[in-house]
Amino acid sequence: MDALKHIFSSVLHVSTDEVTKDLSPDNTPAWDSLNAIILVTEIEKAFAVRFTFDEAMAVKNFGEVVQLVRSKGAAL
Amino acid sequence: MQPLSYISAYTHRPKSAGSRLHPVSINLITNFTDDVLERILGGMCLNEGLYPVITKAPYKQYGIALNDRTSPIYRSKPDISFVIFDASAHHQSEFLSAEHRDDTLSAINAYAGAVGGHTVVGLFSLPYRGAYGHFFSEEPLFVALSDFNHKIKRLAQTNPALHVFDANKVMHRIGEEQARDPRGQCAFDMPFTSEFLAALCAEWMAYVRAGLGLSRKCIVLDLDNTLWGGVVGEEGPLGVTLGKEYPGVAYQHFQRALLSLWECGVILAINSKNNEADVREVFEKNPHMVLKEEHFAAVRANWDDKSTNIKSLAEELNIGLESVVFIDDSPLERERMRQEVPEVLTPDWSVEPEEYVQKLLALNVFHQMSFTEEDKKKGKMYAEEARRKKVAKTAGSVEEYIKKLRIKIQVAEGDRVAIARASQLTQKTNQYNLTTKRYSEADIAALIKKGVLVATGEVSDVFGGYGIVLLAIMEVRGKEASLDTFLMSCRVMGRGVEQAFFEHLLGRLRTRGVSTITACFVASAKNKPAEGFLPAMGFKKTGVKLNERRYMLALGPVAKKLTSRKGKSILVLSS
Repeated sequence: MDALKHIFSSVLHVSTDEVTKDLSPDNTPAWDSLNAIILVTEIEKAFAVRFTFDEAMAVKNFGEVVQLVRSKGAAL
Repeated sequence: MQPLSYISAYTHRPKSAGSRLHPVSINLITNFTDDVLERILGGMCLNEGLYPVITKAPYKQYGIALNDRTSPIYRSKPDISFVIFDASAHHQSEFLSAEHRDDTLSAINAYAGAVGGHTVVGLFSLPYRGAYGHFFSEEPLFVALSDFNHKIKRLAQTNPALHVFDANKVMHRIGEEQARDPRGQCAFDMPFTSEFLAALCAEWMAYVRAGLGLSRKCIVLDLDNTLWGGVVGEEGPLGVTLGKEYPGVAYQHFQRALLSLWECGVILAINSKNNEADVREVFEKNPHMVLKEEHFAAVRANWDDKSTNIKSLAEELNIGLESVVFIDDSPLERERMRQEVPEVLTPDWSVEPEEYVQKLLALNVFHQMSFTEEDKKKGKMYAEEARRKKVAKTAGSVEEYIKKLRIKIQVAEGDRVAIARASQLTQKTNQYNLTTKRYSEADIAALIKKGVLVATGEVSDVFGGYGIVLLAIMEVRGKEASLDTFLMSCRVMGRGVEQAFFEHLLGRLRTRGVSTITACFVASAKNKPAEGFLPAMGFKKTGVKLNERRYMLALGPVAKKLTSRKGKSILVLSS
């Protein structure tokens, strides 16, 4: 979980403490479409998983990211 | 470090440089989405104590930005500009058009000449596969990119502000399959993986260091298990592992790599826990040594603490500790050096000897923006210096020593041949430098063209030449002159040549009818040695503002005798 939070903190200019399940594009100005794809790429690399475009775009907040990563069989 | 760490460092960077970080203005000009590139480059700068201010040409607008002298990339006054374009086989590249290529090339050339600092242009990396496979080199994209690459190389030969960087080499290192990100390209026009971008930025950092005058000048080496295998004190001068067979040959390779850096002007020195007599014996008796004693500017073979030794080496060689790299196979010695003298770069060296060469070259910290004749001669100059030191020991006083050297200064004004060296002096000279202003070759050429007095001094003595080591830049307007830059390479410090050179220039100004000269001393972290120069030349302080001290000199019709002048016996010639 720390690794996942670290990725969000690195890309989105928030501290790891601020990365909660409710963190979302709506309450995080830096979470734009460009940073979204950077996040996707970094998460895929860190956890050796691969998302489809639709999966990645459907994500609404950090909590859903956690679920998505887990659904790919990665341990968090 | 992983790309993400650099991204993180840049995302969370402080709001301003503060007093600890050295600001650097970088322009980034690409034809793809370059946000990740910006962040990785920024993170690498921060990692080295630099505070990056990165200005980008807006997405897909590089053509407009390059041509518009009021655009942000002109206003940012960059120290360095990086230009890199990408074209891949099915992406309908604009660079397939010959007209677009030529327009872009001439825009880059004009930009590099006008914007200031250095402009580093990446060659296109040629795609591994195309529709023609490997059968025909006539494939349109291949032809187009080769054409651009060829032409930009030609432009760089005549434009000193323009440098060519071969991005193919980075592709070569990473491998195209690891370097390209097809999804990134399709979704966001981000054609490269962050691994490729990090490798690219790692190479760009060498240009940043060189451009800011932060390159390292000297390698201080341990001996046992660093320059040869085994311990000379135990195995004897002929018993150490060195020769044509493995593993001895690995040490020979390392010595040859060091020798090639020495031939590029990097200074070598020794810092080893050994008896000096044992070390000397290896140099004298072991036929497998590639490096000879003459390649080393100074030697510390003793049982003192290595950090104490390195400080005295730097002092003897007249170089700052921040221009030194220390190489030692012992983790303990390295750790102690990092603790005691953090300015010295002490790279991790826990690798097998056959890895030493790659490790050394990968440091990437020795490069200069230009490679002048002076650089090639530097190794020899240090050998001459060792002979001078012997004379200094027998001379009774500094004056007597200077007299024995029979120093000559050849002064030239507005010498176009010396432009590269003059620029390099402004980049590299930190200690004896009144204002520490950095100028590119293009800047110097522009100053000469404008009629600013750019005077260089080439110094020699009975033992040989020091090369061009003095530079003064002065703007003369009617009866007033203002000193913009005055510097002296540390190679000739302590001989009074700066005074003799300046007195000569005063004489020249006098004949031009100049009556007052204004000058200033801008204190930096390193230029304390130059602090007393202006007062010693008779200048009077007129004001102080922050770290800047302003001075003025009223120039009488006749030269005043300076009481403190060391270099009375120096002969000054002008061409």
